[in-house]
Amino acid sequence: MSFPRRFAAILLRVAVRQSNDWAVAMRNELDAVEDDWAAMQWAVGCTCVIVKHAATEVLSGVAVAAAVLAVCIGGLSRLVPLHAVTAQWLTSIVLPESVFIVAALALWRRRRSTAMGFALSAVLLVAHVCLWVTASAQTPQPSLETQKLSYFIGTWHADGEMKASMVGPAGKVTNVTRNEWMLNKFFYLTHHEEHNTAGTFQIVSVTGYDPKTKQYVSYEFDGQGGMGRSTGTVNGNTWTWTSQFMVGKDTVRSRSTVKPTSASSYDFTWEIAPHGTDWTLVQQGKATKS
Amino acid sequence: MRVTRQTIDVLVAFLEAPKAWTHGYDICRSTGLKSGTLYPILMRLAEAGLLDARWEANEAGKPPRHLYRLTADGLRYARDLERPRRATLKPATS
Repeated sequence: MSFPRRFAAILLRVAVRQSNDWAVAMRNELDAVEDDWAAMQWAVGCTCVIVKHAATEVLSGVAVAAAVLAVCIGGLSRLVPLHAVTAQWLTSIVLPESVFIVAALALWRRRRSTAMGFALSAVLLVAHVCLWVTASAQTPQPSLETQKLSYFIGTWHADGEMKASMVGPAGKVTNVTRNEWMLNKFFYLTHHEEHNTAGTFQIVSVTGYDPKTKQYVSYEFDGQGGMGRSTGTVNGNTWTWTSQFMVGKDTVRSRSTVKPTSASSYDFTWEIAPHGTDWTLVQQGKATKS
Repeated sequence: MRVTRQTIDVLVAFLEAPKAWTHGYDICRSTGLKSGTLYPILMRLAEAGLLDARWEANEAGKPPRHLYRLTADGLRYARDLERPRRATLKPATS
């Protein structure tokens, strides 16, 4: 047998499955082709048809599987409470995966290629879930302490009273504070603008939880070129932030408290101790989240 | 069903002997089409109920071959398609 004819015979033997009449018909026609090179052309053409036909059927299985998945994720998962993790897993993974497997088994004898499309979809879904679970397990997650900071995320408008002190005369104080998560919710970024009797102050800060020192930390930068560091603790639902700043050659201690009164409001105070422990109230007021 | 020039060629080839059963390779030779073009057309015609297919009786030592013939619907369809083509060809051939 010449090389082209042997090649043609092997090609069609590999490509043809007995279950498909058309493929067998193409293969069996090979003996009728007299010329060896024509036989090879015949085999290549037939193989292309067989592969294209099979690929179309596989893709049709994948397309139906994708539609099932879309219905499960987009439709059914909305019918169950979104916070229910088990329900989400059931509707987004377990249900479509079951449909894919049942469809693949049901179609395996009659429409092998379409069944393979469903089987492929089932494998891809499982692989996707495995990768997602693995990636989630490897990615560090914010601690519970960090998650407590989520209370402050949003835009807060505050009104208060300012007492006469070394930082300014008595009067009204208003400020707007915008907090947003950054760096995978390990920290939040604050833009703060305050109007008080001493003027207008803009502060940008980054706040997070330091597991080594087991306290909250905030690094602040203000519009006058100043920078500072505050540390915070939470006791019950009262947050206390302490820091210190320089006035001339004196170090002034600062303490501010935030006491949530609801999910969208808190009371605040700001005290300073110019000589160490003589705490003096400088500001107090209320803030609400918009 | 998508009707291409090659589909019409195949249908016309069947019309040359409307009652006879024909092999795939013979249609290739009479139309000049490659196997990769012919078989998708045959599949579409069969799926649309325009083509009958059957296996040839086994000859000793040879694998059975597929035979094709237009159905009654297929014949009607082929003649309908062929008529305008013949009309277009007429001035050129007369």
